Amino acid sequence: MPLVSLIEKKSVSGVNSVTFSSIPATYRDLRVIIYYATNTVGNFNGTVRCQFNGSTSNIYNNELWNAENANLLTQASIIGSNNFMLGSGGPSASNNSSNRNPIDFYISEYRNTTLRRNGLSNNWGGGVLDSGSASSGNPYNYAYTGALEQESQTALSSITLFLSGTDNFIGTTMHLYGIG
Amino acid sequence: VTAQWDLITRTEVTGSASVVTFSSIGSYQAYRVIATTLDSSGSDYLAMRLNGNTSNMYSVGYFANSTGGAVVANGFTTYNSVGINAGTNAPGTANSNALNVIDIGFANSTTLAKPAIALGGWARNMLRASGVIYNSSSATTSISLAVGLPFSTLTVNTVVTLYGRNIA
Repeated sequence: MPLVSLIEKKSVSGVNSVTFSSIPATYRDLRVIIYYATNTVGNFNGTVRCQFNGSTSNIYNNELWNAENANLLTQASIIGSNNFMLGSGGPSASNNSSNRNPIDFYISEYRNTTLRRNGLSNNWGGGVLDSGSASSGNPYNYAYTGALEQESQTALSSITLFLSGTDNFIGTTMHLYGIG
Repeated sequence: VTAQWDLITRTEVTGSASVVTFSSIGSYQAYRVIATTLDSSGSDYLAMRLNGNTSNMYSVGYFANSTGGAVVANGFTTYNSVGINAGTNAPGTANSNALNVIDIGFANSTTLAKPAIALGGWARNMLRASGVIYNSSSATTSISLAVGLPFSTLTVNTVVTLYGRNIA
């Protein structure tokens, strides 16, 4: 039995938010692979965020690390947010023609109505920073990993991915896979 | 080159607690285990053993942090009966609907020691990333998972899925 089936691919540009809706209830787990850049002028120091089933309630928990170059920027436990973080940083306007930031987001047991919605997200990569960045280094490396929990036992049928702030995705692809 | 992960088997622990052992695992070049689990004590780790081996053959190094605290690194330490220290502190029964999600992958070489990576965490407690060497070149014939020290049971609301992959 194959592990991975492509459910949907989205290619987007000029939007802040993307939603995979009507996710079929025929798999065990889900995986979202994102390659993104932004239209930010200057450095994009924001984050990629996620909400499940369109919920904006304060039911999202996130244990995370976030590093850039040799600097560990964040080690946080965030309880009761209205979304969770999948990754950070990434190519902005001056280098979005040739660079993308990858995110690998695994969601386990997405249909289970006894257990809460849980996942792991990884965001590792490298690229070229805009000049004048506070984070020196060119190219640079970044790494993010997070454990995610939505305090909900509702079957997952939609996933919304968005950038913090008002910037938009540019030349971005998002693949949603069903697993198992 | 193409590669496909096959779903080998899945186990759900819904009744009495037990150690999960997969013994009909075929012969793949790589295996992947996805586990979602809780632990009745809420204070221990998910561990994995290959071929039931309890000898001093599992070397583990990791990064981990807890509840937003500093990330700590631990160099390779060899364990004898713990197996692969794959996960992190899991939710206890007070959080019986919460989950610790663990993703383990390892190469099933029959000529080299087996390297593995593991990432696990629960969003309200701990996050851990481990690198592991299982110092055996024997073919893997069984994979067992249990919680913590010593190698005890997995409690209810646990789902463990095993995948295998060959390189085409």
